[in-house]
Amino acid sequence: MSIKFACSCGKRLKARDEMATRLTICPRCGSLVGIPSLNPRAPDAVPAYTPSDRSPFLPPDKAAPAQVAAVPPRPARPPRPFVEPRKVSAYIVRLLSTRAERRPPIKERHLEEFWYQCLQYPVRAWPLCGGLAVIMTLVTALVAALLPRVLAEPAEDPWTRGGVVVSWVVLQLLIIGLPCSFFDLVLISAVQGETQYLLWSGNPLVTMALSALRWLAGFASGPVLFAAIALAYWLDCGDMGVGDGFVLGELGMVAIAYQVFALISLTDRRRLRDLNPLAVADLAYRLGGPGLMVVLLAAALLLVHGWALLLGVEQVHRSALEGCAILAVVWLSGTFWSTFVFRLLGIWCHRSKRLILV
Amino acid sequence: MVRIYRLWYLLALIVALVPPSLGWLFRPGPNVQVVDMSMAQAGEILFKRDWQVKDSNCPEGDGLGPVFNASSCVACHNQGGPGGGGGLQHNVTMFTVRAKGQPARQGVVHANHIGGENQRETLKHVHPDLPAVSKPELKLIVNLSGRNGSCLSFPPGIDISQRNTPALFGSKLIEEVPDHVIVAGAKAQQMKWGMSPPDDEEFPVGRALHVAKGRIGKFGWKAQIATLSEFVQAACANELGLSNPGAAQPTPIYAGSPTRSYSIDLTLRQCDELTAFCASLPRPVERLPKDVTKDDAEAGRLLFAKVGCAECHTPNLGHVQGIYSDLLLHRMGAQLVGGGSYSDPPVPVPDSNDEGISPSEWRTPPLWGVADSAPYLHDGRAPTLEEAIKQHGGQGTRAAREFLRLTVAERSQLIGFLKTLRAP
Repeated sequence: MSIKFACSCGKRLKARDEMATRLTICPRCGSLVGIPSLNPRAPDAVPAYTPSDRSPFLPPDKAAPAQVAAVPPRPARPPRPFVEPRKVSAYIVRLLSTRAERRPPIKERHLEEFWYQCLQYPVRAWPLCGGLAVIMTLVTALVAALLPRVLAEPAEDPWTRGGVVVSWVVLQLLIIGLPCSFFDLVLISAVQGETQYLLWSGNPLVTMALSALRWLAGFASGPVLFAAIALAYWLDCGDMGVGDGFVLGELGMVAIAYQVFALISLTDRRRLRDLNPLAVADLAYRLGGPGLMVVLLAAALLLVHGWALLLGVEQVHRSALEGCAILAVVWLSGTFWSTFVFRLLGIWCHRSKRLILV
Repeated sequence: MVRIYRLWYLLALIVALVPPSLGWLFRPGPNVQVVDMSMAQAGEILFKRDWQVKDSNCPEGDGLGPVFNASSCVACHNQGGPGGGGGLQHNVTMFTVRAKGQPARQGVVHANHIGGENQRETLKHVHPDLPAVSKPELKLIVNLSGRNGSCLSFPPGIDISQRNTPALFGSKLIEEVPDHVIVAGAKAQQMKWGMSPPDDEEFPVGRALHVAKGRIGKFGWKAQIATLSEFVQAACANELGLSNPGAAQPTPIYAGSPTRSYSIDLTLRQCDELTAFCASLPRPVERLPKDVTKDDAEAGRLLFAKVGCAECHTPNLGHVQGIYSDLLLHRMGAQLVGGGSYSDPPVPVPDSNDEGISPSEWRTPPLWGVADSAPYLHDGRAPTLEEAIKQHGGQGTRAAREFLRLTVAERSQLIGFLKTLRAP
């Protein structure tokens, strides 16, 4: 079911049930619109926002006209509906909160105000970050060690070959979907201003598949061009000199930065068309110089991690233990910094949206 | 409202593509050089010349020797015409002596000495426990399959191996292959096999050998020489005893002193003429032999790729079509080992950035003209193409195993395809 309502500009809108009584943005006029309650006759039901409702948020010169201001002030917002989450497991679930089962915010926890406060986020989510790093280390090592052997000697039995293909697809899903979904959840939660929980669909496989698709869509929308050129250049450049290193670093940073901006753009408004270069440029502009700086630094950091990951994979063939150790360090460090960066950028995106709208 | 910042961001993306475009624009292409045919004709005369002691063509030097393997180039390079490969009888014997705490000593046990049989170098000069044989038969130093029992047992730290004479056809094209193309092949192989390192013997991942001045080795069984000119000069010095500006002639190993004579036997111009002749040799061709049908050859070509031969014997390399080599060093297993070098230190590349070549590492020999260059492998231990494939070890094991899994008819097709690769 979804709630159907209309903005004051005439645009017909709809929202999911769980969004009842919350605010949304009209895609046509950009104004804040209140989503009606599921039960409008209830005594605590909140009526839809009108332009006058926006007046408390607007500067005095843009306040609503007098006749609109005569509308009674908006009543106090009711607390979010709280449903006890299913007790699937112990600790990790405490960090996760499905979008359908929101829990009340933890007291005395506010959205991070300064950038360095975001460093606490991956530390708070250490079971997820650590678990992800361990899983990815094992999966990467497994693929590096076994896949070439499997490919080199394809099974003749069609059933065995089918099993190999299925295993390969599952591994691909893990390799792409698992880290993508985690960072996606971090980003979504930050963009929505969540202070504690990771908002997820409630179904791990769906979350992973959707995230993998979102990342792939983001990648295909532009970064793939730079990544492909970088790969072709690397293959063709012979022994890498300083100039080649500069070219590859520059291409890699542009590709990664583009990917991050595209993802934030997609997460911000949840429309596939926001992956177009102009919308991505708009988002980069919204995040401003600091945003660009952080994304470029993150891209450089990711390139270093990617290079170390390749070294680790190479080492797996020589010594499995040493290779796994390198991979573990790389994944742990990469997970930490990526979580931090996505949290920081997500929050900046959240704040920039409020600044523009209010 | 026109949002100017959008243009700036898009412009930044376009500017990001400028450096790689410039990189590609200024990347060296094939080093195509036109051969001076008059030089080549003069070089052909030198190539076929039977050199003598105090040769009249060497007014400043001592001519042939003092130690040498043959008295002319064509004496060894003659299969399929001047410039071709050579038979077992022309194998060169090489040694490596490794003593604890000392750098390895390596060189060539030459087959002849200008002073006659009494002054020839022998294996005994390498180590007193070895027999006084100057030109050992291959079966004496290699345990050939099915001929056990006749092989010498070498003292610890002593490696003796032989090299078969390689064909020189198409060597100009090999020299023209840009270094970055060879390195690209190594990178592609490593990516394909899960970033497997080149020192792993399981997957066919090769490495480009870096020699002096940041160049990539392309010539020699160990890819130890970068240019055809250096290859010719090194061969003149080491096989004929003709000192030249690029390489000095060797002195007998029993002389005790590693110093070499630097009186010039061949001038730089003579070396260039010889190089021009080698460069003028045409590339091998693909021609159907009488006993192979076109369909079989085509089927064999597909099988060649299917069993994995084409992983290393890549059909094309850069602009060179039909070379069937990646010019990379590959580890070929414990059975196919061979140390040694032309000299100690190697003469052709005295300032070499020597990364150390493993005894089991060999440059993938180009297969063009392979049908006319028997015997096969580095020391000619494989009399037939089928035997050569079977003896592939290390990174070639998988392809050899896949070859053995083929039916007899399929093997015949694959061999039939190889027989179409003929000398010009």
